[in-house]
Amino acid sequence: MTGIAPTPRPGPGARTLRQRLGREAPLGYLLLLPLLLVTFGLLVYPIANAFSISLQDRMLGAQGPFIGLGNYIELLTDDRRFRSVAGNSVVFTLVSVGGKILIGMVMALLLNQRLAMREMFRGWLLFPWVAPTFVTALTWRWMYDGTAGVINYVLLQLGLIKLPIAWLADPATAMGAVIATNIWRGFPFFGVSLLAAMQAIPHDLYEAADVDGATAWQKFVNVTLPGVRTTLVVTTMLSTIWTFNDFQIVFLMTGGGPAFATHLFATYAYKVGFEGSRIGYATAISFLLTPLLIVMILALSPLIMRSENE
Amino acid sequence: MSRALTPRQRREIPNRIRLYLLLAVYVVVVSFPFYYMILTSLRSQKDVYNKEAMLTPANLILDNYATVLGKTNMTIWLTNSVVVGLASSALALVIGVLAAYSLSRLRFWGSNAIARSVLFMYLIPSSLLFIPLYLIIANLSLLNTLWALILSYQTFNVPFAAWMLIGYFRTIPMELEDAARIDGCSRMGVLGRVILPLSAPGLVTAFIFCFTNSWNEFLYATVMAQRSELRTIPIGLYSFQIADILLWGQLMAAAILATAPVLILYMLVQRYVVQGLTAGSVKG
Repeated sequence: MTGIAPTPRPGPGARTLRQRLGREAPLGYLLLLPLLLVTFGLLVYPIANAFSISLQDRMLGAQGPFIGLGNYIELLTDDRRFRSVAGNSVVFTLVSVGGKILIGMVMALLLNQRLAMREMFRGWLLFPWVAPTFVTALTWRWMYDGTAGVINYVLLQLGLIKLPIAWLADPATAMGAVIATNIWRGFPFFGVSLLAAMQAIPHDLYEAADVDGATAWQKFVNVTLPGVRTTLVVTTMLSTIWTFNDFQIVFLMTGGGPAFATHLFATYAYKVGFEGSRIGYATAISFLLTPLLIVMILALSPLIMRSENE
Repeated sequence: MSRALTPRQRREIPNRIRLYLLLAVYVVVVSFPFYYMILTSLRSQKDVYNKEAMLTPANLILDNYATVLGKTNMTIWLTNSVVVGLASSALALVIGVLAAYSLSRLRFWGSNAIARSVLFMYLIPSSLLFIPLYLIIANLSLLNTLWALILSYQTFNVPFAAWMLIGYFRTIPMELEDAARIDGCSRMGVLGRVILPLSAPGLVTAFIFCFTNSWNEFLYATVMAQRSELRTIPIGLYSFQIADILLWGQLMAAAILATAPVLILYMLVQRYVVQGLTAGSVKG
């Protein structure tokens, strides 16, 4: 490249705006107008507006004084409930996502075998993911019922427990019960996504491993796992975002109780803002994690883009 | 081909049995809640608590369905859900089609960045957005109208529809479009006469996903449409629950009526669900 004089380019002034943006720019922007309207009207402006409200000591339907970062400071230093909410959210997310990965991975490995009616089983096992979450939450709440619940009935019949357990009313079991429901709902997403990735792994890789005398475990670690890595990372991150921000399952099953044992960020923000009317404080709760969320989304988007282009 | 099993196949038999046993566990765990939901919905309030025949079907009745449809606001809620689902999906699809055509076919400054931000928008969770949206909808005096929901649902339906259709439009060969242009078709003519007819399956799938996501939406509907005659199905069901006595038979009947449309739609587009999964087709 050295030694060749750069071709003189026309100065910026010589190009019209249209040339600089692209010949198809007018139509391009025109068609994007509704999308941009939604983006600014329903996302950017509301978020900016709510951020300014998170800096006020404001009640629902009223005005309030500007208090700077007061709400955020109160949350982080003075709110004992918030501390248990943060702990709950971390436990809920880690255990749920971990369980979904594990059970989903076994499901994918299972459906990746030669099976009769494999397609049918794959469609069938996706049902928990397809059923509306509010229905799942209500049904499981009914199954967990302390007096007439079918889960207690089965466990008593099998002799696994001596007395019925009030699954959702006991702080010791409520979180576990809610997590189990969440795993039931979410594992098929991992199962079916991982299965799709496994089916794309070239078969000769396994044959080569067979020739080398690899065990099933070695084949899983050295062939399957690398083959599904991108999918695993994408699904895990997606699921982490969704699970961390979950509202419905907890709201419908326990309402955050008993004694705050299952409250998550979203249910707590709802409680503070709509049951307690402290909308400024509630907004701060939902904004507190935004930086973390943005980092996760920024890390995730290119991965999704890449996996779609493959 | 031969009937007799080879030694290798014979050695495989225990493995095959274990495989199918594990599969059976999965099928039972996945199916049981649905089975129990149906069973409960077909029992009288007395039988719901009867421990003698908890798992087996006996004394089944349809009364709960009749009560739910006849004596509650269920039909109003179903209608609201259908109206909100159709309107928000149709609006999102129009916006999504225009945006997707622009972002997948036209070249101009900023188009890549905007395409990326569509995905970004889709990943913003509703737990972050529900208070900001509530405040805006309140400012617009739209609280307790179905418009509140139709507008709010654009925040997830528009990015989803646009994202999915960008992918779909890109699979349509450019040559078809060029040929139409040479024949004197304008850009918009190409969109209407070439792209849209060819992407009919993609449009239907996107519409069904948008409809399902709207149908299942809970958080926005909880804060924005509280009056009984404006509730959508999820909120209606929730209001069953906060009554003093939990009528589980009726609740499960209502739950089945709420699930059936979604399951039917799912079966129609099952093929596409798997592809759509990693793009986050169903947000939860």
